[in-house]
Amino acid sequence: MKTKIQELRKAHKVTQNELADAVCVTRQTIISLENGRYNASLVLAHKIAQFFKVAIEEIFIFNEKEENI
Amino acid sequence: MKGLFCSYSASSDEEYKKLIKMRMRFFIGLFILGLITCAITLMAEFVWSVTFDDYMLGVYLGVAIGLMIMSPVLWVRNKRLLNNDEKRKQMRIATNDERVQSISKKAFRAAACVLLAAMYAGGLIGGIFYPILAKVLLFSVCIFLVAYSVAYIIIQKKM
Repeated sequence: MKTKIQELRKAHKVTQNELADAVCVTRQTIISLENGRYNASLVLAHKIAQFFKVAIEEIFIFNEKEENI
Repeated sequence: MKGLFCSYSASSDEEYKKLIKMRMRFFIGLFILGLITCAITLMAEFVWSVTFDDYMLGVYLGVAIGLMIMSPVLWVRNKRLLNNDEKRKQMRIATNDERVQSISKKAFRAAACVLLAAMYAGGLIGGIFYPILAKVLLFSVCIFLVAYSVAYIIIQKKM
């Protein structure tokens, strides 16, 4: 799943480490989320959305074709 | 070996401290187990005159001594973790991380498949030379499958 985490992070001038600490995950998880290699759980997606003060849908791009809907 | 036998969630520092203390008690238990294993093995060999194969004597003593050496080392490591706030926070995040737990579960599943296949093959091939080997290994495969089925049913009812 594609995400806008990297864009939002750079816009807010936040490092991967700072974001990882804020949402209680490792930096490697943030890297995997930004690369689309890992899909966040609902709780983690919510934490990230709250951190950036945006809706979950603005961060995580849900592709209907990829999800076979 | 993250999450191999300790898949848990500690959402706060206080919960994680309780978990560390529980682990420390577990390591004390492991040390006692090692001590008992060593004592029983030596008593069996020298007092009760049980005839052990040299190889098996080495295995029992090796396991016992291994437990007796590793458990204090791990106890001290966890004790230091209790006293270091920053390190404890890093460890809590690293072990609670959902991606790490997901990787651990997938690795565990892959390892279980490999182990099952190896036990099945070992049981079939080894059984040609040692029938008892076939019985032990194939019985172990059955135990795994039964344990998996029972665990699945119990967890399904809870979720």
